[in-house]
Amino acid sequence: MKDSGLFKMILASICGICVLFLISPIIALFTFPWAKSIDLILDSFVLQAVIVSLKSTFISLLIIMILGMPTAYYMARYSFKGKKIVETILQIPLVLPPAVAGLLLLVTFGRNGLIGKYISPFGIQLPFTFVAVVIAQVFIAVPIFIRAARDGFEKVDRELENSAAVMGASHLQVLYHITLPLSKNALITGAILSWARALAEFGATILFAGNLAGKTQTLPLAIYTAMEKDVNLSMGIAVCLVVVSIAVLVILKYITWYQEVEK
Amino acid sequence: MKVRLMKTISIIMTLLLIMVSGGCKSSQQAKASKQEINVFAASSLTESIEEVIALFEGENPKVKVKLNVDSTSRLRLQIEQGIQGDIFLSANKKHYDALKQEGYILKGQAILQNSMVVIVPKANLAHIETVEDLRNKCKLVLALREVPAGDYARVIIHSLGSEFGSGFEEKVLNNIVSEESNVKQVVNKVVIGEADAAFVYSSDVTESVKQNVKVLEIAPKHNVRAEYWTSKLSKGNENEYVEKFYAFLINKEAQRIFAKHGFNSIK
Repeated sequence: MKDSGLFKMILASICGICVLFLISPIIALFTFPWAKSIDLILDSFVLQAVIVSLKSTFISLLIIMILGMPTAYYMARYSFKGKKIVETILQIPLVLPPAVAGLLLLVTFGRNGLIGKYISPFGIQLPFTFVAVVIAQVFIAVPIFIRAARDGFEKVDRELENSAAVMGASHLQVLYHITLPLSKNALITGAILSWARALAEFGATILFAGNLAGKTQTLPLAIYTAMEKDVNLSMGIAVCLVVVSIAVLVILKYITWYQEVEK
Repeated sequence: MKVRLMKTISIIMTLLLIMVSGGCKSSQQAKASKQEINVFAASSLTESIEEVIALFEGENPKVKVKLNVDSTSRLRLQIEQGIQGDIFLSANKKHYDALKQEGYILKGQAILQNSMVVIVPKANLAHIETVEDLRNKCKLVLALREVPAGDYARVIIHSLGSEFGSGFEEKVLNNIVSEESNVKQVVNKVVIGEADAAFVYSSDVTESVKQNVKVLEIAPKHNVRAEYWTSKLSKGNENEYVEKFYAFLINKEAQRIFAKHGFNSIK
């Protein structure tokens, strides 16, 4: 009994160290005198970055869902030859350092790139464009959505789907009336997580899309750029992004809590 | 089959682990007996300062020089935020002066000069034959305005405007597709052929860069004279080698290395 108390204390103190380590930068951020940073945020290049970030992440999220949902559904419901390989490919961006991803996108879609050299004669040049921002974000964030959505689809009771099918529902009807509503929470979680990842995207964007205010400069790039000018300004942007990130976490917690209550 | 594969993999992993841990140990032991000095250098100095450091370390085997390369403005920020350094090499006088005024610099002097050139990729898809052609539609990459190289580029474009007439400056600035955070990034965008043109230091056109780019000179009356300042930082280490390295940068051998990389001596 005494032993288990000691054991628990050791665990608790190690856990405490982790919590302190992770929370201290956020405390530091809020103790920083960023009152004057708020004025600086209203600076036009930050507002431009907000707009670029919102626009690009919104488009990215749409593409991610359009591509990700069918992919996740296919992976959850069917087995085929080489499925393990496809699975691995779909997870590559998760383990790739984003800077490497950016470099790879550049040698793929750049003017002299593997694919880029065939499309650039038609006037489609991707690097340094807004489209490149979206491509970088989709590349980095789509695996997160696919994974979450696939988990959701797999948890749906197959019996329910089967009985609906037996009663004469078509594939699409089953999907729409049974599968999607039952995996709703997983899909929302996946969407929020992948959106947050797209919003945070830095390495691939700066390498593949460049850095131009109002065009390809997203918020994380704006922080990096602001470091050249004024540390107060970057701190201001950092505060905004921290608030957004924490909000994302809170929403996710709420969804999981809601899920448990529903059951 | 699978078992065999696993066995092979685990043997390879073990070997790798032993190699890595062995490597760590020896370098740690070497470190313990060595004095350390920290050098902060503007990114345009990368190759030349690496060579100077190698020479210095060769002559002073008891010293380990740690090099931190970034844009001058970012290095200044790091110094102001309390990251410890001993020697700071600035790509312009402005950041040097600011740090001196704030009390971070004990002493310093101008050591090198550099000028700017325009580089275009060998393929030259945008057909930029002279500096004046920059007004045509092309993908121009500059360093950020706050980075010395970006500041100089804008000064030059402004000055060229007086010769090439109205609208030149505006057209050129409209061609900017990206503002990079340091000059090496700018160079590489042209080297990989994604940018059509860029303003960089003449010293950035190293041997390996030369194979991929064409250099367009800028008339001296429009060009800038970039001055590099070396300085001894006030919050640095208290070891004798800092002073020694500071003096070393000014001596003939070091200056010869800098000259080889396209810098001019200040004297």
